[in-house]
Amino acid sequence: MARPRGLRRAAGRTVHAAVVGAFTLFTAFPFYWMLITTFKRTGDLLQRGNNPFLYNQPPTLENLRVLFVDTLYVRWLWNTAFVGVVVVAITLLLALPAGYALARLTGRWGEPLGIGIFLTYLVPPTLLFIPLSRLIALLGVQDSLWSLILVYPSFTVPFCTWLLMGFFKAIPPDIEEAAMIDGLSRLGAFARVVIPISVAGILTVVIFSFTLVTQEFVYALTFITTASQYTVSVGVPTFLVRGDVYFWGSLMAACFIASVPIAIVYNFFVDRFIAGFTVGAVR
Amino acid sequence: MSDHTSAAHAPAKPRVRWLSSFIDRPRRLGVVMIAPAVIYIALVVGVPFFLALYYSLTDITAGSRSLHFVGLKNFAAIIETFKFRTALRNTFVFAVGSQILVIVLATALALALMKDFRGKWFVRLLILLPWVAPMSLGSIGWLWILDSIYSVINWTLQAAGLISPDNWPMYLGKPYLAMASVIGVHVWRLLPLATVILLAGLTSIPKDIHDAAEVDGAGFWRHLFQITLPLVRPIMLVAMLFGLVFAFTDMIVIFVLTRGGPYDTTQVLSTLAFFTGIQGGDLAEGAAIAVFLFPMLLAVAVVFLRIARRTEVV
Amino acid sequence: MQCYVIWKFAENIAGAKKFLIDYTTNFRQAFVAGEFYDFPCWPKAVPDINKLLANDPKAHPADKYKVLDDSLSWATNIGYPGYANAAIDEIYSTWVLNVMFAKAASGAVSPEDALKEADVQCKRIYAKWKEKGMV
Repeated sequence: MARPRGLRRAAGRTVHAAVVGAFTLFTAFPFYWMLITTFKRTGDLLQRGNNPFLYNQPPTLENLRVLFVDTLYVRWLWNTAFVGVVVVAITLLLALPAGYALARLTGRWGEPLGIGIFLTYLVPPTLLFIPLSRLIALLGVQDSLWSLILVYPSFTVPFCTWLLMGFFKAIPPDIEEAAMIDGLSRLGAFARVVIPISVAGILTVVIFSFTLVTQEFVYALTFITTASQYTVSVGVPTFLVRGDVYFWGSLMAACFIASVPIAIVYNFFVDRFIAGFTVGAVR
Repeated sequence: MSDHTSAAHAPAKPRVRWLSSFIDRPRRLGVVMIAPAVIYIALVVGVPFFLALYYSLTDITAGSRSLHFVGLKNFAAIIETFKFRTALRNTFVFAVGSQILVIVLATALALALMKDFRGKWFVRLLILLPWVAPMSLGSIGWLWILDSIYSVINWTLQAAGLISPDNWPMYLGKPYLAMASVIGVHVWRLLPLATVILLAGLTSIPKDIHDAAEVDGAGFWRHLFQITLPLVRPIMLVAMLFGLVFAFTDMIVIFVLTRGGPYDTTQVLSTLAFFTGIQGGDLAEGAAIAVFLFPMLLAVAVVFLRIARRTEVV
Repeated sequence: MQCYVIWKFAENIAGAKKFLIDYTTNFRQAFVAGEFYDFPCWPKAVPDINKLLANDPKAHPADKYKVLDDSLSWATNIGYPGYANAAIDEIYSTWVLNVMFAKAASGAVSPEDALKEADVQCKRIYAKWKEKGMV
């Protein structure tokens, strides 16, 4: 009786390990590859016979030098971080009250309005960027990070509002009622009671928005043309792909450096992120 | 009311109190709280959207300083072209194909991640990576991995004896392979987020339901298909909707990897709009192609939201 | 599309013209510094081009690029025998001719059909831009 059980459990564990292993290989292999390629000499790289996993010529720091010295990579990282933080702040400022209002304060027209806001998320940047570039030029912020800061919330706010709406709906109203009986206004109850217990939802919004910002390409490419104002997403391909010559080593380094540290940070918050999504989207 | 002001501020109190009690009515407060978001969206999404719609009805070009209204001529013209119809078909193939793969794979991965095991923190880190990477850079990384001469995948396959040196598959150069490659890279990039969303759904299933099923003696597959999956269906639909929107509108992966592929076999609406409007200079036609995306997305969203609401698990 | 243009409403047209003339006639420096990646617009801008091509210190073998000796006599601008214009630009940027060649070469369609397809597309694009008065 006990043996077949034990066998089944062992088999289950092997299958589980195999599945996890296969997926991890799929997602992480390109990054492992990027790490190796970063230190490879171009001559080593462009030899079909060479084993790509070994350093057939000694590893080099030249690609990193090109990345950090010959391009404005550090400046671009800083630009991206700056835009990310400000846009996340704006998103929170707009989406938190809006989500709460939709969850609690709007009665009949709340649901359709909420869906309407969510649907604006469907309007693709590839459609909007031409008229938006005229708007940006009109406001005089073209070629500066402020054009991005102005426009990026357009794809973070709709989704985050919808998410927070669900999140707030799941919080029992008794907590706010109790606070209001204690003398707080509704707005005060929102600020002092609801927000502190919504950390998971806020975290979800922060991580989600920051990711969307760092990934964005079309707007950054259209609105900005000065090298020092680029974000990483646009600057790296523009400078390290010259015509049809790709500086592979430096490109791989750029991607690796821009991704791994942030992934490590996110990993600390993934549980909270999942919790936020659970409450916000599962209703 | 909110009374934390001291007597020294007495002169300002009545006015502040009046204001805060004025907006504190639920209806009014609701309007005040939601107004900034709505105004912002109306200005930054609404206005440009209608402008783009207007452009698609004119003859504007990249170099023109004036435009004339031409009605539906752009739309009529592009629908007839072979290029547009190919792009339309490819868009569906790309979006639906990648989404089905993402959902199936993400479900499998989410189920596997439900269990605690050694090294889970590290595994999660590795699985998060594709989502965190700026997509233009990630695509360039894949461009190198799928290179026709130096692909590491081909080298490894050859070293394992599975292919011969003259037989290296051209992942980005042959029609069906190219579509498979761009779908593959797109799946790679969406997998982490979909997995996380599904994990959210899975963790919200109360444990008693699983226990009850165990007691009843349900096997693994029956448990999965008849209990677990139906319960995560709403959130799965959200993930699919999100992913479909992404797949329909994204152009980076295809632009970087194939520029529209071996003779238009991976050309999708968003890349065609870019090539026609920006590189080709005919902004009006580019706008018309891009505008085509929106009703499709709207239809998809409406369908999904309707299904999601009907299968809501209370 | 990879040509130099001066806007009609530019503020310093004479200066821009002078700049372009200076730039293209002094192209020898760019030609050498770019390691022969870009060839000059005017053959006389790089008078010793044959000597340079025959002996490239960075090439293995050194006379690898000698075959490009007479390239300036057969290479031409996009749009030849005319100038590049908006219709040519759109045909170029939407890969009409590339697709035609690729389809015929890979056997996806017969050469006649590929030609017909490309013909229809080019005619449509030309008609479109003619209507806008730009061709």
